[in-house]
Amino acid sequence: MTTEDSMDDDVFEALEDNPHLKVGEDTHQLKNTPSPTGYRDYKPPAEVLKLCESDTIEDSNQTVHKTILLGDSGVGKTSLLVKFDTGKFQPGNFSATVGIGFTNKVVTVDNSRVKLQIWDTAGQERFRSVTHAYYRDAHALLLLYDVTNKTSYDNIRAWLGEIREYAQDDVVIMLIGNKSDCGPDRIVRREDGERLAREYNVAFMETSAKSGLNVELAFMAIARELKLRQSGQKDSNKFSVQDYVREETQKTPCPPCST
Amino acid sequence: MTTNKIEVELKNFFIFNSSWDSKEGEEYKKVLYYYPPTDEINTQVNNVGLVEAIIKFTGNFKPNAPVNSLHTQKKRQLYYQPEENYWMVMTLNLPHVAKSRNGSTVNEYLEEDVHDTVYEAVLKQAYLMYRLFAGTFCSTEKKSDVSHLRNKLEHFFSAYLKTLKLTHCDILNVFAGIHFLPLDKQNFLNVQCFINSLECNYPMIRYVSFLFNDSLIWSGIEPNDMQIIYQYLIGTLLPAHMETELQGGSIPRNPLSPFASLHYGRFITGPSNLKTAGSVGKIPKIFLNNETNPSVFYFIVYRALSSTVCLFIDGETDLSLHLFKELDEFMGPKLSSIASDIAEYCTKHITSTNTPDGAPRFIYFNKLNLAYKSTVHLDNRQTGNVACNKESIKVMADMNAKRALMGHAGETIVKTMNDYWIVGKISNLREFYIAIQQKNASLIDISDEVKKICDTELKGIFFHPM
Amino acid sequence: MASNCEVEPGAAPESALVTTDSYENFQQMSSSLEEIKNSNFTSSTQDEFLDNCNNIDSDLHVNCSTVSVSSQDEDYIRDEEWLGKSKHIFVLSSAGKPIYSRYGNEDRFASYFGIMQALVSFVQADDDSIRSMHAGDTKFVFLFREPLILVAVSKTEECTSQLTAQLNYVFNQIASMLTLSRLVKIYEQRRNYDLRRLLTGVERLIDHLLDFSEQEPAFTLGAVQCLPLTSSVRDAISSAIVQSCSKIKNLVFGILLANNQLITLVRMKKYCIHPHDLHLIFNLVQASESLKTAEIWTPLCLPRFDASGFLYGHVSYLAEDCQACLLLLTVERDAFFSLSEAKQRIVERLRRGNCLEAINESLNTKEETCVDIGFPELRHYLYKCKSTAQFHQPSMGAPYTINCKRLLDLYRRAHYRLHCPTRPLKLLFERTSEDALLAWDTRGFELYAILEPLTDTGNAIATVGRLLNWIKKREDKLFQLNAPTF
Repeated sequence: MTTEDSMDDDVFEALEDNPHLKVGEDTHQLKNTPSPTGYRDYKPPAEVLKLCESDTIEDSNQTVHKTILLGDSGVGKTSLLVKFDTGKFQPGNFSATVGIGFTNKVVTVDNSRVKLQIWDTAGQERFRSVTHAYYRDAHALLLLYDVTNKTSYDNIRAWLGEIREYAQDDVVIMLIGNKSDCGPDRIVRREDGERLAREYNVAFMETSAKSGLNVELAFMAIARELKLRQSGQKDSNKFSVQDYVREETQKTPCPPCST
Repeated sequence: MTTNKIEVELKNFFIFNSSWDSKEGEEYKKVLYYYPPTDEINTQVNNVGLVEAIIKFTGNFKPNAPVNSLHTQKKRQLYYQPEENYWMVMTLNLPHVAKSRNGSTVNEYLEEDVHDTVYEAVLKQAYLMYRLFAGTFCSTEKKSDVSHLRNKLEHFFSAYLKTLKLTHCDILNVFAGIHFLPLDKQNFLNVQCFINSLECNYPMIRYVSFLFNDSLIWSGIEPNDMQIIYQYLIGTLLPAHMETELQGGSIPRNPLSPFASLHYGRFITGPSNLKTAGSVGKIPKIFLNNETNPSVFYFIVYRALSSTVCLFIDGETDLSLHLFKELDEFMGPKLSSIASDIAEYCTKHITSTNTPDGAPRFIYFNKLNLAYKSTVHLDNRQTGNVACNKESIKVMADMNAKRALMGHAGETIVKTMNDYWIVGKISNLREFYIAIQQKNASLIDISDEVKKICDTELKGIFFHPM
Repeated sequence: MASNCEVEPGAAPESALVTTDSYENFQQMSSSLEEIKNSNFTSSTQDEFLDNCNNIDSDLHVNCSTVSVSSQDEDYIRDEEWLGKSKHIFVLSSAGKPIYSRYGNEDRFASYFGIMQALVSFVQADDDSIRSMHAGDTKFVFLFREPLILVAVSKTEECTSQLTAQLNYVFNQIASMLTLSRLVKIYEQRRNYDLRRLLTGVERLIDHLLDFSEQEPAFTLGAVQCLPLTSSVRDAISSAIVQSCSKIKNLVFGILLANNQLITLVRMKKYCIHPHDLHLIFNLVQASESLKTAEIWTPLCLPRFDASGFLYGHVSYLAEDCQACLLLLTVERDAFFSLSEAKQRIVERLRRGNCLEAINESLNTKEETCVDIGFPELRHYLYKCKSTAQFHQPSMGAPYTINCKRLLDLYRRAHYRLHCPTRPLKLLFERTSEDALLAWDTRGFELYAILEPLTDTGNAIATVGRLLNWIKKREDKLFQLNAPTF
């Protein structure tokens, strides 16, 4: 039996014939669908659902902002993203990312929505040839190291070199020292991170995917910057992120778990 | 396509002492014996080095026994550590067939045709045979020195290796069993009586064993010792003797004839012709009870008609020609008469082993008394003279090698690609293997057939009712 | 012995899986990618990719976080726990550099790796190759596949060829992450390369693969099990995939699986997937929790399909409420978005056709045991249809729910005896005081049935005959009988 002349096909053909019938419009369909991306434990943020319900929302953001998470294997890129996306921390032996993971996230900046398309890359060297291909289109890069792992910090310079080579010149870069909740296991001092960020003229903050410290802030800062740039206020450039970050982190020296 | 099969062959055989802490450049000193002597010293040292590395490496993982074999694409190497730090190593070239593939000829090596169990048994037997005639390695080295040990090894193995029939080794080597002859009460008593009176009248005779043809009737020595002596008698000594007998014609053509004259006896070891001999000649000495209380005995074999008597005489005894003359006089007539009675009994009562072609063939072995019986093999001399296809015998060896997985009792029935059926039954220490060549039989037919065979052949032998 | 089934259950004229002999030459590879690429225009070429790979090799910018080699071998030699492991697996480069150890940090017994390398090269110097060493209960099995050496030290019952097969899987797992061509090239350029820097994270996949292959009869049989679904549902799923991907070029395989069982496999015309490759995919999916958090785009080499290059895979779970994993494998390295959209279309079609519910229902239905289906004397069985490389097994019943290792040992032993290279068997019937086993290899199928210990041959044959009929009646549910193409 061949599938081509299968009886059931008729049902699907109808759908195929109507290219206008898109997920977003078919709200009934959506309600049956617990999650548009289809992931376990994935509760779509209110924004997304709203977005789906009405396409008429004030929209500066038909453009998708590509954001890539970079850094050595094991520094916590996926954990950071999962924390931001779902509010949950994946503990312990969460397995290494395979290839590139793809997540869409819509955040609200100053009452308008910014759509972030976040690429979570595998830190392993063998995937590098694949990830390079995605640097080119990236608008923002979150470059992570692990404050308990000196090597991951030392490799930041190499990562920045790679970014220079493959990414666009005006890409927004934020350096992140993750696992700041580590306590006595810390090896890389905060000042070291700050110094490196200054040297390369990029924004910096320490985060903890475990406690949630600065997780939201990191992504929001990126979103804000991307939005500003899009609306043409380009001059402020990188400094605005840094200033923003400084401001925000000073406001809440020990911010509560923001999600 | 005609394939030319090259049979398994001996590549090398060596013995070394791993405890010899040899300095660099003097590694050859640990080699006690090496065959073939044509291999350069460097090759010898390298080969020993590899084995030592393997022993050490495998030992790291705490196996429950030291390393026993190495498999490579083209070779098989077997290891046996009979005494602490002494290692015997035998390397075989695997049998192979030349096959043409895409225009070029490739040798296909038949790894599965060489069973570790079979050749481990061959290696072990080589040691036991040596120990029987020369005592342990360790005792020789202690008593005199290493060069003496080297000489002894050289002397023994150079000859022994030539007698190995590697191509015909099979599951029987694993058993190294003894074929027993069940006798009626009267005949058995006659044998017993004969042995008693020998031991009574000649106190220097410590033990006596009695064989008829290739079958053991009585043994006074430990089963382990008898096992190796049996192999020696059946595999080497008696066939050699028969050959000289046949050539010399000194014995009547038909040794089973009941009308023969009264005295047929002669010494097989010891003075060959008492009438002309001026001295007792060279009497072989052997080492018995090696595991408990090693002691030396003279090993005297005397034969009349089809009966063979082994006398184990205290090694301290001063053997005189006179003693041999008297023994001959005492044993000759008695043994001749016992032998003809047994022969008569056998022709009457023991059904001939001439099973028709194509009938089921079996091998039985009982580890408890080392008894074996085979209708697969047409003689006990390891000549490759077998009555069923070799594949079936190899399947039996497969079953034997895996018998531990069966637990204390089990039954296996298999059908090969050529539609031969092979059955293996294991019950405690007994093993029973049957080859059935009935192409169109069903599994049910075969299990019925096996029941029948067990009923007739294993009367009274208890098999776990499976 | 005759079966009353005319055609063996599960047989199909066409198979999406390469049908295999389990002990065939593992090194045999095909080069399907070249063919596909030659027949289809693609945006990137293999050469470009390899160039990229080479670039990374020259950018030696990442500090290798290798712990300096300390000779603490003694620790392990005395470590009872380490020694007590029933199977060690080691991987090293042909220069003797440690790459992987199943237990313990490989740097801590670097000297062992040195010895293993020395053994291999010593034997090789004699124009020979080392296969195995045997010491009492312990087997040491070597596999030398340029440029790696793989060693198993096993106290299990598995025979040498089964351990070799397992090592081949490990090798293929490594190759699937890097491609064989690249692996070879790396060592051509730098003999002393420390491969671990490229294999970060792969240890976990290998760990999982080893456990997986020890627990799954699929590996022994060289086959895959299908999730039971009525044929109309399975066909609907297949056509949903075919329809949704109709406009996408160069899609090679679409694979939907759940719970280690295949739901459907859609393929490019003329191409089949090898069960060994599919096992690696199952392993990847099962071992990667991270696949559940996002849609993933990853390069993946299927060594039996083409060891020289990557396929690119869009990997995602169907939906929060349906834990089936969909893989869309293409030769295009930039096809993420079109595949991501295709995936949405597939999910939508499946939802409309109520297929997700059908999948969930099957996943939630506890499979029947032999007793449930009316075979009280039958304890368990494996049925493999050779022409489609698919198999079926019932759920484990007593006494094997607790001791399933014994069951797998029985199967492995029986499988080996049927397939022993020089003395294969057609039929094996074995009874011990614990169980009876009937293993039967015919042209069309292999059947391994474990029966009550006192079962006689007559009953065994009768049971197996009834069983074959039972499977035949359910074949369209238990197997994927067609091989749909894009």
